[in-house]
Order: sequence, then C-alpha cells, then structure tokens
Amino acid sequence: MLCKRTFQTAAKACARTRYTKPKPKPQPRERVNLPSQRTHHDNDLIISAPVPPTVENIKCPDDHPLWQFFADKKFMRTSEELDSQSRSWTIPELRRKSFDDLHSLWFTCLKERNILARENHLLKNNVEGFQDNYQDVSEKIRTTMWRIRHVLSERDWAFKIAKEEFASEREAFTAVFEKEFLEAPAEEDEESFEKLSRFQHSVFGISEFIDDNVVNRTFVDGLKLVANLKVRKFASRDTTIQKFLEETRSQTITDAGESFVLFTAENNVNDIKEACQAVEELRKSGNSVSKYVELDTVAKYIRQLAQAQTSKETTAH
Amino acid sequence: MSSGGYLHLTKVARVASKMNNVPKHLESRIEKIVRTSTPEFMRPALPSVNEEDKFQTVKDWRFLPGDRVVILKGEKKGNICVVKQHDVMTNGFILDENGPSSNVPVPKQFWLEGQRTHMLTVPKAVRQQDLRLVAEIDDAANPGQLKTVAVKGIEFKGTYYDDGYKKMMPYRSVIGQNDLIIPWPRPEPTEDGDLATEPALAREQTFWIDSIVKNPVPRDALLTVRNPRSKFRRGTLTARDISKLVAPKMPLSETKKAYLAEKKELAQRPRPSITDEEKAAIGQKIYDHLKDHL
Repeated sequence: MLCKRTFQTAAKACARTRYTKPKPKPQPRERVNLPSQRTHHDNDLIISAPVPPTVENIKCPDDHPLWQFFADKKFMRTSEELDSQSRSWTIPELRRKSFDDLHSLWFTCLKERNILARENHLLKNNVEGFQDNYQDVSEKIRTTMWRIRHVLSERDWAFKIAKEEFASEREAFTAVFEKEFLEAPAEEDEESFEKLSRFQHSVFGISEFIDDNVVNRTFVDGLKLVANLKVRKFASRDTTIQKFLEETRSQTITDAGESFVLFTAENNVNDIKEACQAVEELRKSGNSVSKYVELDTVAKYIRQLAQAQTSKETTAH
Repeated sequence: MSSGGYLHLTKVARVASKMNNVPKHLESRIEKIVRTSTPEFMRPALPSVNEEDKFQTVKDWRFLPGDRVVILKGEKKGNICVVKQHDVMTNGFILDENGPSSNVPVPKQFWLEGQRTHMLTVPKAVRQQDLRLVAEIDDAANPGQLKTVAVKGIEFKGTYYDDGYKKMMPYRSVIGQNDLIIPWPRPEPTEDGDLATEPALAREQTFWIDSIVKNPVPRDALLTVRNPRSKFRRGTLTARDISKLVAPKMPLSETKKAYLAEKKELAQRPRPSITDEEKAAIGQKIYDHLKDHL
C-alpha cells in the first residue's frame, strides 16, 4: 500500500475519536404495500439445467407449408421408395379428361417435381451422389406436363375451327331442329323440351344455370328463337296462343323484352298462355325494347333474375 | 463427371454431359485408362457401349430376365442358365450361378452382409451373340412329351397386351415358323408405384363437348398453355429474322470490280442510230432480193 505523505494532524482528524450509538432498526411495518410487480428478486431465481442446443428442441408443426416439399416427411427417399416404374400419361388418355381434371393433375405433377428437385439437389450437393434416379422420375412427370399443355392447346384449336365452320351450317342445323321439335307429338313433350334445353346450350350457349350465362348477340338471338319455338309449339293446342301468334307481326317475336317473358315461362300451356297475356299487356302499354339497347336490357333482366333467385334461396334457408 | 454444384439445374449442362464425345482415335486409349484405373471388383466384364447403341426395347434385348439361355462361347460353354438381369451399361446379360463368374478381392468397406473373406464371386456379363434362347416344344418323336431345344433365331411379329409387363409386347417366335411362339417369361409381380393412377380412374372420360359457343379451355388458362404471339404462328418475319436468314453479301474481288467497270463503260458507249435514208436503203435492198418471189 502506498503511504501518502500528509500533515501529522490529518490522521487524527480522520479517525473517529468518540463512540456513537448506532440507530435502532425500524419496527416492522404492519401494513406493507407490496410492489405491483415483483421482478428480479433473488429469491425467485432458480438455477436449472442449461437448454442443450439440439434439433429435438425445435418443434415443427405438422401443417407447416414447407412439408409440401417432402414426401412422407422424409429427408430423401431411397431408390426403393421412389416410384421409377410408372410411366407418363399418354396424350390419348389425357384427351378424355376435363379441364378441371387436367388442372389438378398439373398441380399434382408440379408438387411432385418440387419434391424431386429438392431431393436431386441434396443428392448432388450434400450426399455427393451422381445417380439420376430423381432426375429420371422428374423427366417422366415433365413429359406428362407438356402433354397436358398440348392437349389443352389442341382442344382450343379444335373449338375455334369447329366454331368457324359451324357458322355456315348453323341455319340449316337450326331449321332441322325446329322442324323436329314442332312436329313432335304432345306425349313426347318432356323429351322435346330436354332436347331444346341441350340445343340452346350447344348452339347459343344459354345455360340452365343463370350465373353461367354471358349476354351477347348469340345469346339474345337464341333467346328470341327459343321464345318463338315455345309459342309455336303450344299455338296448335290453345286458341288464345294461336290468336296471339296471328296478331304478332309476321308471326315471329322480334322484341327482346317479349322474348324474355316467354323464355322464362314454364313449358306448359297455361304458363305460356299467361306469358302471352303479359306480352299483350306490354304491347298495349307501349313497352318495347329497342334493338339498339337489347343487349344491355337483357343483361339487366338476367341480373335481376339471378338476384331474385339468390334472395329466394336465402329466404328458403 | 463431377457431381455437386448447380449443374443439374441448367439445361446446358445436361445437354453437354450427354455430348461427351471422345475423338475416335482416342477411344481405345481412354478405354484402357478407364479399365486400368478402375478396381477389379468394379470393372465391367464387357466394354461399355455408347448412349445411342444402348438397348432400349424388348426387341433389342431379345431375352428378358427369367428366360433360359445356353452359352455358346467361353469357359462355361454349353451351360444352360437363367437370365437374372440386364447390364444396361454394356448391353450384357447377367446370368445365374451356372454362368461365367470371377473371383475378385473386395475392400472391406464394400463388403456385403454376411461376407467373411475379401474374395467375392461376381457374375460376368455375357454378350447377346454368345447366347441362344432355350425353349420347350412338343416332341414329334414322343407325342405328348416336351423336349428342350435351343432356338437359333428369333423374330418378332404382331403385338398383344401383356398383363404381367402391363404393356404391349411383340410376339416372339422362331424364325421362319411364326406359329411356334416362345412366350415371354412371367415377370415378378410388382406393386403399382405411389405415383401411379388406377386404370379405371385413368380411363374414365370426364371431358364432354356440349357447346359450340363456350370454349372448353378458360381464356386465362390459355395464356399459360400457349404463347399467343409466338413467332412460329405469326406468319410474318421480323427484320431480325430476315437478317438471320439472309446470307451477307460477299465483297467483290479486284477482277470482278474491273469486269463490272468495263461493262459499265461499254454500256455508256454511244450507240449508232440508223437514219431514215439508211432504213430506206436497207428496205430497197430487201425488196430487190425478194421481188422475184412476190
């Protein structure tokens, strides 16, 4: 220790020369307000064993999205577990499948290829392997995938070409159908109207499901044709409808609004008769749809019809 | 080929690895280097074949695993063996214990389960031309009995669906005798793989055409199926395409330049024009010549 050289009085001044009585301890308090939060108190701290840094301490949820890159949650499949036997889908097999089926098959293939790509990458980098097991299976799946695209492309071309060629045959086709439909006896009504429903969907794209419909020129043309067919079908069976048809100019309905009323009527004599009366009232009140706005008007009607249907469904529930 | 890295992700590397072309004059030398540097237990008995010469179809292989064959050449000549497997790298056939084999030392890290010594008997692959198919046919001498024969030649005619192999297979018959069909061996039944689809499900038709107005393929999906602006469908060539297709103009040689200059000069020479008097003189001359024949 370093001895500091000071005045000789300094030591005396620093020293305690008199005994002082220490203060008594305070009395324990009766009402003690404990602190609202007690932290970092020595008594609370417990020494426990250290947490070892191992993989087992990491918990991965079973539904973790990255599991989609693993087959059966395996790091890598062995060559026995890998399906190297199966072949690709052939084009004739894929031609039979709907778009939705092909779409789901595409995604299944894509997911499997992701798994295989991961395994192949590990094989080439971590395991230092040079086999092409994963690569070969992946190539087979890739073949299926380009074939799916080929089939869809082919389907599209077939549709476009058929549509172009059918444009010249539509009138003759429609005439044949009209003749058959109108000449069918009353006993076959159910079958005839089923045929009509298929015909309107195939030629004019008028679907039974209201939401599926797209209103365009073809749709409105179809609407008018179907309305005319319905009236002419029942005209021979009921004098009121016959009279209505004769009063109509050149015996064909050309107004989109009138066509819509008749189109939505049920396929029986009474309902068609009611629809005819409604059309007559429309005519009397001078309500007609100009052909320049008929697409918009019909679209509006269809929307109203869809809304009415949904509200009916919700009230039914 | 070195493994690792990201080469397997690039198309270029995949193509390049297949184009591992060795110059013809170096082939034997490289083969020798490979042979001497490979340990004996890994060395194939037959030379490996090029990618394009490898057998692909059953018609190439002729004998499938399970077939009985007789060896025509080598130490085990005359033995009848069963084909165990195909050696894809050498187009060879691995036979059962009656076939040729060699005793080779194997380092301990490659020992099989239950192996006690360093020496291991390894089957040697046999070439196709050293084998003949063995079949059992009706014995003409003893009716009702079968006799075992070796078939000199095989030919393939017609196809049928084979349930065991689950694919179309050709009929295998004795050459010149198409009615004498030697059936393919029954393969060991294998379970369908995880990725396989059931036949009934695969064959089920779910696509039906019901409208000429509505496209069966949604419009948004079509953009991922096909490029609508593909240059192969466009039908017109861009300036860039044309520049690639048209060869550049060759520069003119000195001789050609001189020739063209001379031609140009000759073309620019004044041409003699015929006057009316000369025309009349020519006409008179022709008239004089022909007047006796008129």
